[in-house]
Amino acid sequence: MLFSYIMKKIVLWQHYNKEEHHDADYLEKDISMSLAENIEFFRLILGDSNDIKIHEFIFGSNCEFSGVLIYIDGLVDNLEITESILKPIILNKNFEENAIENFTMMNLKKSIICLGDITESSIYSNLFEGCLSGNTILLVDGLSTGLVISTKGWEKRSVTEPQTESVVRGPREGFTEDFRTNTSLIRRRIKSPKLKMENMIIGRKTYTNICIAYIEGVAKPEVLQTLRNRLRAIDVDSIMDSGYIEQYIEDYPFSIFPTIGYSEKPDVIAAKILEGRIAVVVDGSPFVLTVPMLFVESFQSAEDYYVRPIYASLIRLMRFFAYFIAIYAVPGFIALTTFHQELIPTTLLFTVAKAREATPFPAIIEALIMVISFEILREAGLRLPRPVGQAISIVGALIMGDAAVSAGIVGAPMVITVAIGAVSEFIIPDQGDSISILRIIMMFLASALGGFGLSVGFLGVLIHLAILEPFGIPYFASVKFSRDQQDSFVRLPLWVMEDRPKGLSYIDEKRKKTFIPPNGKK
Amino acid sequence: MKIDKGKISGIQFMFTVACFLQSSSLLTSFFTSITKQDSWIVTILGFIVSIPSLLIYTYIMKIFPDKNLVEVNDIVFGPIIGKLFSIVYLWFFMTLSSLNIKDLGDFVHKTTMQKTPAIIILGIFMLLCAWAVRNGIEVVTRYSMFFTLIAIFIVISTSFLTMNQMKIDNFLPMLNQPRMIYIQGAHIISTIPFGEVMVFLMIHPNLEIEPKQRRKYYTYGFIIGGLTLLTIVIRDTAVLGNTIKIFALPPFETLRLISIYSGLSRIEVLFAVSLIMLMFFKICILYYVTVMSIAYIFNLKSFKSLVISVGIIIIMYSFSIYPSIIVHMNSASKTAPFQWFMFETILPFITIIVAKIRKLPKLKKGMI
Repeated sequence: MLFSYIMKKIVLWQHYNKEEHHDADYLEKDISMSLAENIEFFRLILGDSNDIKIHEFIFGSNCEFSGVLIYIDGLVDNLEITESILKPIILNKNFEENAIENFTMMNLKKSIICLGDITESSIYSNLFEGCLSGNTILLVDGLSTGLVISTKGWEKRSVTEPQTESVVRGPREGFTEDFRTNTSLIRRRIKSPKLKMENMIIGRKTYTNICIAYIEGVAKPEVLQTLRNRLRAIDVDSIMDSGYIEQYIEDYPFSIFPTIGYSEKPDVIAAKILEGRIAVVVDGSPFVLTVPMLFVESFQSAEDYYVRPIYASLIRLMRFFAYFIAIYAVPGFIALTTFHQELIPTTLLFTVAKAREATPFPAIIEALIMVISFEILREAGLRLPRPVGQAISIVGALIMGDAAVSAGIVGAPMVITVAIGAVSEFIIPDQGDSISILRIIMMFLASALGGFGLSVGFLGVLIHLAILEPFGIPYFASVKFSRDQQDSFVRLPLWVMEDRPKGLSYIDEKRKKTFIPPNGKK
Repeated sequence: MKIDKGKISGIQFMFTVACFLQSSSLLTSFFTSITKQDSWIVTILGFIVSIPSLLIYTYIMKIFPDKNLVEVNDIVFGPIIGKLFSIVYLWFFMTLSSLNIKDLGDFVHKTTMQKTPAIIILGIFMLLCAWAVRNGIEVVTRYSMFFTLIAIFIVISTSFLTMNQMKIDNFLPMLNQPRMIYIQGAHIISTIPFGEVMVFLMIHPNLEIEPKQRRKYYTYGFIIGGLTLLTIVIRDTAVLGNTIKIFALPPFETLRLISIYSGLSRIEVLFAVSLIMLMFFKICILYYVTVMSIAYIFNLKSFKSLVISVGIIIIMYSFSIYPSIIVHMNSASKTAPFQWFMFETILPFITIIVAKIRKLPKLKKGMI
């Protein structure tokens, strides 16, 4: 069923992209009645690749039929082919008299093959498409249609705990690289019939499966239509990861703020779909995208909703504070030491002055040295094999921290400031890129204009955030809509959050019908 | 014809008005230097005195719900005299913008960066405002609630922190000054911070709310702003007493006095931050209003190309408007209130009278 749906989509999609797909045109013809010709054509197109298996066989009461199975070894479940296709066909000797005249694929499909997902097709392109995505093709001599039988089965990673978003409390399963597993993980969490999954295939060479998941009546139709249009407009060779899709459909490619969210956890994606967002599952990527993204999303962790609200709110506030510190710790220190020494408490001022006395560079150079070497260390720690990564952190801690100070290249207060900024950055992984870029911009503003420059930078960021409207939804919506305050700077108890976020949801705005506190007292 | 299609919700409008008033409340010296320890009485008086003006504005908003001030002038006075009126208003808006940016530039220049040329500070700030204004009224007013709440938080928390410095004696002697001082003070307050809310007559067509509801939100915002101003004045008087008259920035001096076991001190940074934030908001609104009135006077299709050039004019104007801060203070407390009074009360009042005589809104309704 689903496969026929995909096939329909392919046809539609190929129709849509007719001009661009000259290379697929020669497949757009009906298959031949002669089995030999068909096999010849398959050999011609697929070449001598040794993973393509073409298995010819004969069947019927008196072995009057000849057929062929075409599949790709490794993409199919061999046991299933033997047990459910070959055995029933070959062992069936109960064909009627004059079967040859009346025999159709319908007979095979309906009464012989023991598999559920079978599509009948008479066009080469459908057969090739099916074969290459792990299905088995069955052709019979003298018939003008072939069967595409779903026998997918390949090695895949099992569902494990994701490495990026670990939680103390909450579900631990994560998406894998397998498309069907990912959609099933979403489907298992939302059993409503309103959960719709639309498939399309993108990539001229990779034919990557893409699925849009949303809840009808909750997701905004305008956003959905925009998303569909943008996905359909993608015309590239390959889609390797959901990151490709993200870059092809985002509204502000040159903004430092991400406008499309992603997650590796099915519970997070399900919650976002329930808030009115639309998920994009991409085959081969464990990261599922959600559109549109709001700024506060970066500060909402899955665990916030699983622990009790007061602590969750405290942590939420702490994250905003950490975001602020990650950007402003170093620039603030530069501004203080360069322009506003009077604001530093006197005792601390002595220490800072002593440290500054010993170092040869102005504060901005000092900060740049530290920030850049930190970024290098971090990148090195990420890319290196794990055992070497340990060594790098020791080098970083000892040489960059202690030795740089004793060598007199940077002052100790600067090391502390950079370290605080760096640690704070890890609390909000989603905004990592905006933090790194903003920090450097603010450092230059601070060294040129001091506190005034920092204020100007802050206001500039606010203006930029106000301008962003991914998919027509205000990015900084929690400032615009007062209703969204229930889940932005603090997280109110779940039983208080009656409405979905205002900017996102469409008709079905209420999460629940009646307001009942947990203890039942109104 | 609407150039800017941005929409403002009711709550947002309320906070916009409040924030606009709060931004003036940080620079209180123009009346505290005259009325000294009785400033808080004068603030209440000024608030009451400016209520009729508020009624005038909301009445204009009600009878012309989708026309801004320039269009109203055109309708009420006809194309030629209307344009003249609009140009006079334009001068008013532009003067307000340059005065405010001058205030901000002076503050930054005097307190932190004495050696930096003023043009750098103003230029950078104006570029920032231009960025916001170019993107329309929605972006300009987006942070009104955020800024208002921060300002209220700062005012309330500093009021508690200065509790140990406050003396009830500082309010004495009460009502012991010449009677004219109170009239003058009330007049200044009703024109300079409160009367300036008439600029929202240029913005109200973008409101998403019913014409009948506008008065409600407008008044609430006005009350929030007024209460903040009153709190600031009472706090400053309680802390500084009679000496309030000698400071150019009384709230700044008040916050400077905060020192709780030497741990919590240097709170005046908060003042600087909130001043820059709120002034940014106010200047953006005034700047936007200036740009929009030019666009409407000349019937332009878009205002975006005007933004930078108007910004440059405002900066130049702010440099040449007063030769020194003494003249500025003098003018703010002696001549400006009378000039502003004309724009803020008399002209809108004339507009209403003429509209009444010509029975304009009724005709308009009949036509629709």
